[in-house]
Amino acid sequence: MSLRDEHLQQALRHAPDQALAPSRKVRENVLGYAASAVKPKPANWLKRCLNTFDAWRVASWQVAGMGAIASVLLVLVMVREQLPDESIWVKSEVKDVARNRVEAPAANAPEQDKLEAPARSEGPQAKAKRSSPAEGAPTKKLAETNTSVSASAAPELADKANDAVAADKVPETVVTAPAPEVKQVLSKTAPASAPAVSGMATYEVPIAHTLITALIKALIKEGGEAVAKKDIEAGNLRILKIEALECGKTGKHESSFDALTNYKVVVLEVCRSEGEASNDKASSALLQREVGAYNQTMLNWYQTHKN
Amino acid sequence: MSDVFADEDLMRQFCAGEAHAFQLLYARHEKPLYRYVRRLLGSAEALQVDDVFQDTWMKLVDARDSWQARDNASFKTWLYTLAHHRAIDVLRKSGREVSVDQGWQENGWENDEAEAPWALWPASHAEQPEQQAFWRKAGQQLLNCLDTLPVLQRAAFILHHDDGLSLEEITLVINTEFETVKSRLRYALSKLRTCMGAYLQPILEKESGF
Repeated sequence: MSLRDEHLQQALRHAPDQALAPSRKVRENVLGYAASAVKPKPANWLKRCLNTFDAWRVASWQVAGMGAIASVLLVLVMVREQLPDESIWVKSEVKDVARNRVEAPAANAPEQDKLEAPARSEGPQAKAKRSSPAEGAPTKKLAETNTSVSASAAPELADKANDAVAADKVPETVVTAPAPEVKQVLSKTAPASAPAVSGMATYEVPIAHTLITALIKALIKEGGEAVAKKDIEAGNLRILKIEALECGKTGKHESSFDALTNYKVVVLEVCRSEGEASNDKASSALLQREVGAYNQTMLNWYQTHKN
Repeated sequence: MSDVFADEDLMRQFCAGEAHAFQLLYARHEKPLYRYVRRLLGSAEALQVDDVFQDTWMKLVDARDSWQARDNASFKTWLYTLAHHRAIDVLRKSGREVSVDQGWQENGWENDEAEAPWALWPASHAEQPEQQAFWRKAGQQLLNCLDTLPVLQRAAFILHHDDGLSLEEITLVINTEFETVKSRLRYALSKLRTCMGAYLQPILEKESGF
C-alpha cells in the first residue's frame, strides 16, 4: 500500500487555496519583527554598568594587586607618622639647621639687620661660628647638640623669634642679638678646645633649639604649672633653671641633674643688656615666675611619687 | 540568490544578524506554511489563520538561539513544528479538536484498485478547460473532505502530500512515533478516497467523456 496518493496529491495542488497568502499587514509585521530582533540596540545605563563590571571582573587580579599595593603604602605612611621619638628628628633637624646656617640666604638680611643693628660689632664671632670646625663633625656628635637660648622673657618677641624659625630663617641672627629680644642659637658640639661661639653659653642637653623656644613660649602662654603637668604626663621629668648672662657673654654648662629629684636640669639663658627697659624686666619676672611654678609642680610630683 | 542557500544557511545568517536572510526564508516558506495553517485549522477556524501564521514566525525569531543550539536540525521541520503546535493550541481552545479515530472502517479501495472511482479521473496535467475545471472541483472537494478528518490525520496527509515532508520529518512535526504517523496517514488516505469517490463518482458517471 502506498502512502502517497498521486490523485489526491494532484487534487490538492489544484485546490482553490493554492495561491492563498497572508495579508500584506501580516507580512510586514513578521518582517519588521525579525528586523528589529537582530537590530543592535543601544545599551542602556544598566547594561553598560554590567559590561563595565564584567570588564573589571576579567581584570580582577589587577585590581587586587593595585589594592594590595595601596594598602601597603597606607600602612607604611601610618607607621611613619606614628614615630614620635624626638631624638630621631632632632638629629636630622640639627643637621639641617647647621647646614642652613652656613647657607643662610641673603634675603633675610633686612630683618636680620634690624635685629642685629645694636650689636654689629659681634659679626666676627658669628663668622667664627659659621666656620666652626664642628661643621664636619661626625654624626655621633651631632646627637650631642649644644643648644643655647638667650631670652629676655618678652612673649611677643619670643613669638617673633619662633616664627622666624618656622620660616626656616636660620637663627644666625641671634648670635649678636641684644636683650630684650629672645634669641636662640644652635651650634654643633665642638671639641673641648673649640672657641666659644658668639658669646653665648652652651650646655650639654640634647634638646633642639626649637624645643627650647617652644618651651619658653609655652611657659609664658600656658603657665609653668600647666606645662609641667603636660611634661609629667609625657614622662618628661626635668627641672628648669634660668641663668642671666650679660649679652655677649657665654656660659658653658655640662649635663647636670637636680640633687633632690635627680631630674635633668635644663638651663634657659637670659641675655640682659645694660639699658633694659622696665617692660622687659616685667617680662623677665613673668618667665621667672612661671619657671618657678614649673619646678614646684615637678617637685610636688616628685614628692608624691618618689616611692 | 535565494535558491543558492539552503534554509539552514539562511537561518544561520539571520541568527548572525542578517535580516535579509530572514526575508529570503520568509519568501520561500510564506505560502506553503500559510496553506498548511489554513488547511490544518479548517474552515471553522479560518479567522485564526493570520494570527497563527504570524505567531509562528515571531516564535521562530524569538527562539532562533535555541535552533542554533540544535545541530543538523532541519529548518523546515522546525518551522512546521512551531506552526503545528500553535494551530493545535487554537483548536484545543476552540474545542474543535477531533479525536484520532472515530471507528472509521477502511473501505475496499485499496483492495480493488480497478474499481476505484479515481481510476476514471482525467490526467492532472490535462490542458483542456473541462479537465482543469474538474481538478479545481476535485481540489475544493478535497479541502472539504480534509475538514472531516481528525487533526493528526489531516496534518499527516497535508505534510506528506503538499509540503513533501517524509514520514520521519512528520514524526518530528506532530511529535509522535513513526508507526503512529504511518497509521494516521493510512486512515487519512482511506477516508479521503472514500470522501472524494462519493463526491466525484456521480460527476464522472454524468460526464462519461472522461
